[in-house]
Amino acid sequence: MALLGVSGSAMLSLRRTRQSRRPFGGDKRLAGAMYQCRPLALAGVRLYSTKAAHTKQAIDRIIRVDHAGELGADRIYAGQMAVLGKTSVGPVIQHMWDQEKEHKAKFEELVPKYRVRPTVLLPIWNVAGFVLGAGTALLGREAAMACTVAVESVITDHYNSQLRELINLGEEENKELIEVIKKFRDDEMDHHDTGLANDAEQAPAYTALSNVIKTGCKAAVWLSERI
Amino acid sequence: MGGVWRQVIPFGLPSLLATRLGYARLLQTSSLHGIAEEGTSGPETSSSLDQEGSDLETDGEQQLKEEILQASLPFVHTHGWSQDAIAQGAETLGYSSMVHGMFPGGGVDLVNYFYGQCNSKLDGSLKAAIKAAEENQELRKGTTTFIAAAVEERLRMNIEYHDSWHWALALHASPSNMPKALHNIGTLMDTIWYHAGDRSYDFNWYTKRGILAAVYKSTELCMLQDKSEDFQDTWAFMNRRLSDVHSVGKCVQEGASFLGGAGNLVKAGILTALNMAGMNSKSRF
Repeated sequence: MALLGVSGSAMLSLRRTRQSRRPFGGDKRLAGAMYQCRPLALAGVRLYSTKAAHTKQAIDRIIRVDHAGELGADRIYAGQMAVLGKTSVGPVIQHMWDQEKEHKAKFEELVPKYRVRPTVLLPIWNVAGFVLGAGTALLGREAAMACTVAVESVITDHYNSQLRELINLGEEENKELIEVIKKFRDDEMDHHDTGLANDAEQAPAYTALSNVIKTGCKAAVWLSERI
Repeated sequence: MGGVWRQVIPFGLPSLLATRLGYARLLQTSSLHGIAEEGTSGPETSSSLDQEGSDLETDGEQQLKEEILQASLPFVHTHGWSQDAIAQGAETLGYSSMVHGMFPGGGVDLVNYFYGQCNSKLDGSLKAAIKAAEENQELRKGTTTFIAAAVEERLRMNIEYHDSWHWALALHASPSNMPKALHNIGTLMDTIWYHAGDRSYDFNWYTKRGILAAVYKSTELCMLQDKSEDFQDTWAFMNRRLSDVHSVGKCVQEGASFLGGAGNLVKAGILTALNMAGMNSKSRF
């Protein structure tokens, strides 16, 4: 047992090299952890240690961030409608808004069903979404469409990576969630294309506006996954 | 036992290493399956020593840890929530007492295990109660009664270790153990509220659980120094706290409706003023 105790490479070679004579085969990280009686991989706090628990945490994060995202999208469209509701682009925004309301309702059903903790930042996203929607709408209808395009492109990529993760975790077990996210991803791609078709690229400072909104969305996604 | 072994341990470190990391894997029957499972979850590596991503425990390792901790619980009365109790427990199962190296947190791992077990027991019991209430309408309880019964049931599970529970709480209060402790109480609150019928998905999720956590924690502390017959004082304390919450909630509701009414009054006043100034006509322009 004692001979087998050091690192694998020392096990295989019979020559006692300088490295293998050192405690733990020279592995300082292992030695440090051992002497300090601290588990090795504890950069953050790892509360879940088995694969099943890890899966639960992954699904938890997915539903939490999606719920936050749909609430944000609902509020963005509410802001846009508040400014542009009576213009010619009103019906287009209204149609997209109705679809987002459906998405939000679905996730509101999934949150208690999967016993997921909603994100603490919900009140913040509530306000921030409305401000973003109303703010970009005040810059003009093209800017509102540009905001839609930017947000929907981030959301589509995000849904795609979630689908990959879910399929990786098990296509059969997570079938319901995969179907829901697939459908919603298709709707969001639709919104993205609608935005482009409605002169989004004619917005003032389109590239800059788009990049700022995309970065903001990605930060919001990162935060909502964790908090 | 401590003195001699503390001198021998440095020489036995390679074997301790083997115990900590290799022993468990040697014990499980499907070790290849375990390594393959870990490989999919993180960077590919043959050993879990270095890579964070693949340091997930296998189910076999988890089961072994639980067996040892379960066997250690009876020794808490004599050794407290400490590594000694875990070492004793491991010995009753036939493992070397060195296996306590698998629990680097020491006594707090035992506390967390016990806490988790009690939470699972409560979950099962509440599910059964809900089912029984569905079948028999008379057994249905109001929300506050249900929550009071659930909190009482959960606290009664601690009575067995009442003498050493202050030690367990002290371990939980330490900063390095705090995240797991918060996670434990969070899970417990979620269990109770979910079975009491809460299906909220917004910020109410947090307010409800936060309030109940405050009630639970204060009742737990009250129970520590309660010497009455069958802890009657504790249950009375708990009921007073829950009725406080109830009355605060009603107060908030009434306050909100008052503000709503006041807001309506103000709106009516503004509308009247606009009418009087002739500015309230949509056809003005």
